Amino acid sequence: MSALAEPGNGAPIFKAVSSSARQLFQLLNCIRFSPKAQVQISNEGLRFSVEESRVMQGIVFLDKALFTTFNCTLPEAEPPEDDQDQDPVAPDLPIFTISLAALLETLQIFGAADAAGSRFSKSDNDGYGSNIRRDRPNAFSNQALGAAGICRLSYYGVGEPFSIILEESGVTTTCNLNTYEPESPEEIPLDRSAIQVKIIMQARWLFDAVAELSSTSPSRLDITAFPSAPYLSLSASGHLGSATVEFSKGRELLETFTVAEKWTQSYKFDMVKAAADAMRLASKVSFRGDEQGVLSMQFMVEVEGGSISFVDFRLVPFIREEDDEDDEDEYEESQESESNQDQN
Amino acid sequence: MSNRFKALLSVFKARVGDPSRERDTAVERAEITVEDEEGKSKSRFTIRIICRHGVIKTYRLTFEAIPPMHALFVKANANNMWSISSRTLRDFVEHFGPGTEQLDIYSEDGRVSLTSYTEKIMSGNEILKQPLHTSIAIDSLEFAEFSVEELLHIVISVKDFKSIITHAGITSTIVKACYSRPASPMQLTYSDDGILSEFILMTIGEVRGGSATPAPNAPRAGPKRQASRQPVATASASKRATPAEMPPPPPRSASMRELSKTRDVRPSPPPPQPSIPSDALFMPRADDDNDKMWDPVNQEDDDDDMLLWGQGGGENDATVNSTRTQHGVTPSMNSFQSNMSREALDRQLAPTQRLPPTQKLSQARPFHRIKGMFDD
Repeated sequence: MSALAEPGNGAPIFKAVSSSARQLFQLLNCIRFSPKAQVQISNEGLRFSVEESRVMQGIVFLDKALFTTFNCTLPEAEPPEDDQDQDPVAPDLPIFTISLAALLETLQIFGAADAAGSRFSKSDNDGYGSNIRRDRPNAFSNQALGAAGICRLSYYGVGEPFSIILEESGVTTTCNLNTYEPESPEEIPLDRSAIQVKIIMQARWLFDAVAELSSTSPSRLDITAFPSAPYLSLSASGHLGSATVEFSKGRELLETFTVAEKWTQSYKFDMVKAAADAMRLASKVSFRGDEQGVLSMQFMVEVEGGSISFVDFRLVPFIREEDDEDDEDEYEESQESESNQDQN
Repeated sequence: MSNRFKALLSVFKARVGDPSRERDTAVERAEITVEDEEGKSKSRFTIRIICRHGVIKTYRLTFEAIPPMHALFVKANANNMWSISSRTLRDFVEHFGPGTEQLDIYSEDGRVSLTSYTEKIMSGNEILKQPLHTSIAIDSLEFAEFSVEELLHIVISVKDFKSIITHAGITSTIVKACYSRPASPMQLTYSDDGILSEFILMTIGEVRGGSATPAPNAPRAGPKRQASRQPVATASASKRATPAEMPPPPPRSASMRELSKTRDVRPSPPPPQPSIPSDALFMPRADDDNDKMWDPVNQEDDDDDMLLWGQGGGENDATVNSTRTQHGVTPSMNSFQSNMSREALDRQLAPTQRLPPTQKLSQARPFHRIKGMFDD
């Protein structure tokens, strides 16, 4: 057998079966802010990454534990290396780009997105469905009732489509998504040796805060972490005014809080908001910022079935100049009040 | 104080569904402060919402100080009055046809008719608006109180009325309506749990000859007190309430104009009475166009009115007369409306006096152009 599988007739280099398309959908839905996703297949699982303007990056890792069977036959071009190199950063891992929108559309073709889809159209009035936990395990889901179908994923090799076969109660949907050449695969660098802020908190508090701030339709989100109260503050200002959410009781709210000195960075609000689906779905978030202001938000998501997955986001901050607007305003204001006092 | 109402609303709107939300973010209390110091460049309306676990949400909304607008309503003039349970009224209101614009209210032989309608509008051969009438007849016994002149047609905006009644219908309360005659304002009030809601609606309708001096025939009607329509008048003015002292009671329409005038130009008004502001609806307006709509319309026949007033009043009218004398000296009142230093006047004037009354508004405007207070 040749190193590269024969297109179309050889064994696929990747084959996996999942008993729940909904799980996959929920996780991938967290990063739907970009229409195209880059997929990397390894022995450990599938890694989907999306990015927006090189400023925001979202990564979902579908661990092989999410699948009932997971076979990855990596190309055997250099067998001796392959033996040693079992780690997922092997250089010739299959990597390609697919349309994420089409993939999501396929995964929810049997209604996996019931709850998620209704969020856009339905009001939040119905007590059960509107709960913030709506995407979490549900006793009435197909999954729990044992009525779920299965989802098969396969990939034969470079240039071949990524195929999804969904079966549910006798109905089979086959979908072949074209694969494209991968784009620049570089990650937004987070300097792990220069982490200045590390906070672990309930993801829904972050969700609540972001939802709160979005009412002022801001363009920029300022995040400030203080070593003492108010510990963490998110603020945004639009043309109608400003809004701030503070987490003033650090101990009760923040599970882990490591901040050496005051840390302030600004991000594009819409980008932070793009992570709202993950904030809603996740149970916890690990929130890290480095010296340069690169923000990493790592969400721990408990999907149906109890296994834990992670969804990562990385954001590049706005460049902060020394004479930042707000600081300047405040400075002027204080100067002004001082001079008023002098006059008085 | 003018604030983008939407911004203010959005602060609280998201919390409407709070009970169904997770308890962890429940609101414990809210603090509201206003920063508006002179010499400071920023004016902020600050709302601090303190939630459980020490989550504090702070909104700082921008605002600007502007002279407040008031729609004036002279309760003493409102000799037509009815009150009804808000829930009952809400049930009736639900029947009004969608898309209707005006609401006509009148009573005849113990039946009260509420007719919502749209008038047909044609442009050439094209029908822009289809006519539509929805009539509801209610026995006047449904009302808690009902004392309205027979066959007095009064027309208000359906949209405004619906919005008000929908709000009133949230709690079980009594909605009270007071009005005098078409083209004068109607006041709707209700209160519940410390919230007093008061709306003043413009009315339109045929001003019939008879209604100039209305004589409600319902037995429950209170004593008519035409003369006390001067809301800021001092005690002397209220004595004029006894019509016997005024040989020829001036025609109401004339005195209305009179009223608007005295109000406009009074340079040194009597001290404000604390009870008066509750009669006025606080209506902030953002743009000047709307201000003009509230201006009095007829200002030419000053002299006639003054004459009338002077003749009609006795000694008790001294205060009123004195202010009117000053009016002669005061330059045109348009200058007051548009460009006189409003703020200076605001400091002097009681809240109800800052702007001219609205009694004449509707007469100046075509009926079909009356626009509601509420957005669609």
